[in-house]
Amino acid sequence: MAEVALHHVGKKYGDVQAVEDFTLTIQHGEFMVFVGPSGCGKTTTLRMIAGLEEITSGEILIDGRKVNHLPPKDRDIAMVFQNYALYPHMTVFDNMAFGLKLKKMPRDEIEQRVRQTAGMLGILDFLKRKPRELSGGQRQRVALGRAIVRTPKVYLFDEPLSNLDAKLRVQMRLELKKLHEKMNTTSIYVTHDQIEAMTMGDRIVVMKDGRIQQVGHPLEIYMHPRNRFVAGFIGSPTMNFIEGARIEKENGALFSVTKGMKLPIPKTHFEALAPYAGREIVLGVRPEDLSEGDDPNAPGAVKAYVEVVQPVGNQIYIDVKVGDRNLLAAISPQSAVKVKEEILLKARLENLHFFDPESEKALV
Amino acid sequence: MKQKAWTKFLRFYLPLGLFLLFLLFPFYWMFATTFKSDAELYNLKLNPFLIHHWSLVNLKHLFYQTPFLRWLWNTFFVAITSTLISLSTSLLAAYGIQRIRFKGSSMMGIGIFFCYLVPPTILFIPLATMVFKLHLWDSLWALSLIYPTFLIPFCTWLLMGYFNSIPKELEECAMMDGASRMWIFWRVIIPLSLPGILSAGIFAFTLSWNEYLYALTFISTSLKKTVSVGLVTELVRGDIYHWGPLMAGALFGSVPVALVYSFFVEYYVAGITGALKE
Ligand SMILES: Nc1ncnc2c1ncn2[C@@H]1O[C@H](COP(=O)(O)OP(=O)(O)O)[C@@H](O)[C@H]1O
Ligand SMILES: [Mg+2]
Repeated sequence: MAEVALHHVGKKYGDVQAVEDFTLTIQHGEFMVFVGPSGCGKTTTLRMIAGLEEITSGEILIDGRKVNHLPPKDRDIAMVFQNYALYPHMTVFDNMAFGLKLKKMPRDEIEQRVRQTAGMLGILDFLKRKPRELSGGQRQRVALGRAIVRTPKVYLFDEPLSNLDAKLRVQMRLELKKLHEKMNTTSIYVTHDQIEAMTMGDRIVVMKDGRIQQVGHPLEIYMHPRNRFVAGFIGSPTMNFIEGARIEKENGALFSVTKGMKLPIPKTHFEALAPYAGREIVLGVRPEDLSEGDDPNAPGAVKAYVEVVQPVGNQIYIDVKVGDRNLLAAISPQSAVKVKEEILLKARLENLHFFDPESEKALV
Repeated sequence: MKQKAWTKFLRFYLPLGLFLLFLLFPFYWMFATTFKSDAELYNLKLNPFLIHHWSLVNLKHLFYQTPFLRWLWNTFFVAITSTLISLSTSLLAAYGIQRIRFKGSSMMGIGIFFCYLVPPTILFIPLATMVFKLHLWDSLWALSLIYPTFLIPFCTWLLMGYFNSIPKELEECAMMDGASRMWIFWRVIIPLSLPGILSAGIFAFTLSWNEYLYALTFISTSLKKTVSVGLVTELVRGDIYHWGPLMAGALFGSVPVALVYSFFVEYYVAGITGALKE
């Protein structure tokens, strides 16, 4: 168990600022997920925590102790690499026992711990094999086992599931989460997959261009993204952004208006949005906040023209035209929606998102 | 079906066969000449490609009238020592340049490469001065120490390429597990680079086995000569070529190298292609 704290950590490769002003505290036993598009500095941050990369500025503390210049071996951290990094010339057993042997642990204790961990991961039968004789999923487990068997203070995972096929990925996601519940060790997990982040993280850090965009619980980030980037990155399918929507004031009420759509704004947002009356903003609507409606006069009703219908089983994604814009809506699978027909949609008004067109910050 | 076999023969086996013939013919010629008497060798009426009367007279000449076995041993000694010196140095150099990012490491790599480009015909005069000053003139150690001047750059480059194919995460993972650099080098890098090391070793061994210029320059005593120099200086007297013993010497001189090659051929191929299969 350990607390990992980063204060204004930065990393420069020559002229490239890979990570900038990264400040975050990861609590004892927390499962923290770093998520962001490729190249946003997730791996670099992880490697700085591991001590594999010198930091250019700021400081890193583990359990309150500054570790900026501490070599990796003295940090008591285990890392699972994206390519697994198993030693090809050693058996699974030797791969897992590697760190324990270096710690000069007695042989029978090594044997017992490796067997116990292998049993937990379901790889007991493969202990005598070499990595090349294993499937991708099995290698993944060995890589996990090698980290777990050491019982370090902190686990670091760098996209550990990205080389697995979709089905196995979902299964391993669940197993990792269970393992974490059981061991409760501070873990930092890097992924570019927002679903992985949402499902696994106690908290999520959304990153872009080396900077933290938002930190929070998965649902909190989903419900209240702090800027347009986070709103677009978290959630699947992606949020619809309607640029050039105007905030209009009528009889003391606020509306967000675009061609073919006039949505009343909930009273709770009046204070924040009043200064924007008469100005253009970016309106964000999640596909799942657009459902099929029945009353054309109800608040939030939108007339749309269906262009594409994509059933995915538990939902139907429809691509619709409203005015001159295309929006995606996720509606109930019971709907009898047809292509090239009109449909009446209803927006969940309390879930609308508003962004400043210049700063892209969320307005409410 | 028949058609296919024919095209395969024409496009694959025929060119391959011709190529083999071209490459192996000198060996056959050495072999045939070795076992012919002078009388048969110089008789133009006989078919020169066949051996009509097997004779061991050339072998007797080679083994009893020249110190051929001694030359073989000398060559072996020089090849082994210079290969070992070069390999151990190159392993450390290549690892350092490739993996420890010290200041100027890439410049160093390029520098070593340029060393390789300087031809021995330019180097042997300054090297001769050094050999004299070190009192190594006419000593096999002169060759053992001088061959690495071209072997080390060569092996270093070959090994750098090989190390580059080993994922650096392997080392990082070991580092986090508490292994030291040296430990990682011995337990992770060396075992994984064995094919590369072997092929570098084979190359180094062959290059020193066949080396001629330095061996000719720095050794003068007959008993200290290597095979390549010994044969030419002792079996060509003025303008008289003792073809029989010469060819016998060439044959027996190339056998060890051929053996080494055939023994390690698989590693050798893997080493050249730098393939590290997981
Ligand atoms: N060793 C390096 N040398 C130079 N630039 C690097 C190096 N490693 C990463 N970078 C750069 O730093 C940025 C962040 O990279 P990385 O942390 O690997 O991103 P992520 O893991 O989020 O995809 C990228 O722009 C990348 O090109
Ligand atoms: Mg990465």
